[in-house]
Amino acid sequence: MEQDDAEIVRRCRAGDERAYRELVERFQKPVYTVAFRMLRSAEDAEDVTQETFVRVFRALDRYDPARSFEAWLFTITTRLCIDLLRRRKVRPVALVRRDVESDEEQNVDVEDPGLRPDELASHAEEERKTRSLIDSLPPHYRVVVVLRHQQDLSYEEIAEVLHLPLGTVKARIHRARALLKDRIGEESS
Amino acid sequence: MNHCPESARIQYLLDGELAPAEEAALRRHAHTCETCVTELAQYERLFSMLGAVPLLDPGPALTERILRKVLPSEVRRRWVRALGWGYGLATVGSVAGVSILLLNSSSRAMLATLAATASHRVAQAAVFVLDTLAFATVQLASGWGIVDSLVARFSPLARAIGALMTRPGVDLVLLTATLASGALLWWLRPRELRARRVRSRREIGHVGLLGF
Repeated sequence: MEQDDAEIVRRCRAGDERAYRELVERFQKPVYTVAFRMLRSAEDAEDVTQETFVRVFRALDRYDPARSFEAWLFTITTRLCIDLLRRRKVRPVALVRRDVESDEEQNVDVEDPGLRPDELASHAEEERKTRSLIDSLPPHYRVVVVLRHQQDLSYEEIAEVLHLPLGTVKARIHRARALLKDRIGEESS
Repeated sequence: MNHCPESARIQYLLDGELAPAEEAALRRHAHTCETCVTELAQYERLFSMLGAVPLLDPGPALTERILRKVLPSEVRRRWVRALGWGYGLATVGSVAGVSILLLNSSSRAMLATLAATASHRVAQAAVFVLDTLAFATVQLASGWGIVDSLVARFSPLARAIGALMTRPGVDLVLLTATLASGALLWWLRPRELRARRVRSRREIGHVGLLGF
């Protein structure tokens, strides 16, 4: 955890309301981005972002400063997203097929509804293309790519957030990036 | 494109996961391997694209929405507001209920009966409790021999009074003194106060222990 984060958390625990605002303003965008990438719905992402902060502040006294604050925050976010996806009857884990003999995960292609045009209209073409590529990934790949490249979390932190073995996280990130590379290649050719 | 086993480590290279010596070796290899140099260029472009995607901004409205939910002052205000509403509604309900009861004659009669019954029951309960306490005290005192010792201690006095009462002159003196005391007390009675009490008692139908 950055020193600033630790200080803000300490002030929040002391009841300083300006620290509450600082914490929300600092982490609102990352939390919303992760939630939006997982859920692909602005409304649901806002609800999850709000609920994440409600739970964070409620549990702040129980938070262990030895742990990464960001990892703790994203753990709550991803759990809420997974719960919501389950309620929507979309099961991201079911999109991975694990080979019993080799213990390797195989991607199962699913139809991707993509983002609504009005959500994409205001963004630059390159950004739009990258976002579309990220969104085209299956959820279990999408979340690791967002945590790695947009939130700059380490492999270890991602493993902590998603409660997955380190090897699985590395494998998922590498496969996701290989998929993206191939898709960029296909589009270019 | 031919496959090169070294290309599998390109992502580790870009993630900074390789030791400096391994990284240098892989970069040297990439300069001589067409497969690896292409892969490296493609991954570098991908990393650059992924890193350039900005975070999404949900806007300040969400910040305010979250703060309204989490700020301690807002939480307290919500509780106070909820308690205020609850207290207000309970007061209005109670006042309305009591008003309806008081305005209705049959309800008034029912309340009076209820109060009288309750007073009676409370008095009964109090007598029962006092009786039980007295009984328990006497039982305990008997168990510890206190009653017997008191009787033994006061028996000479009782015998002396008994002997005195057998004399005829003493009886007459005691009877005269009792009658004189009674007459004196009757003459000293608070006549006006007593008359006022009798009047006010006639005006009140029932005065119970509960104050009705």
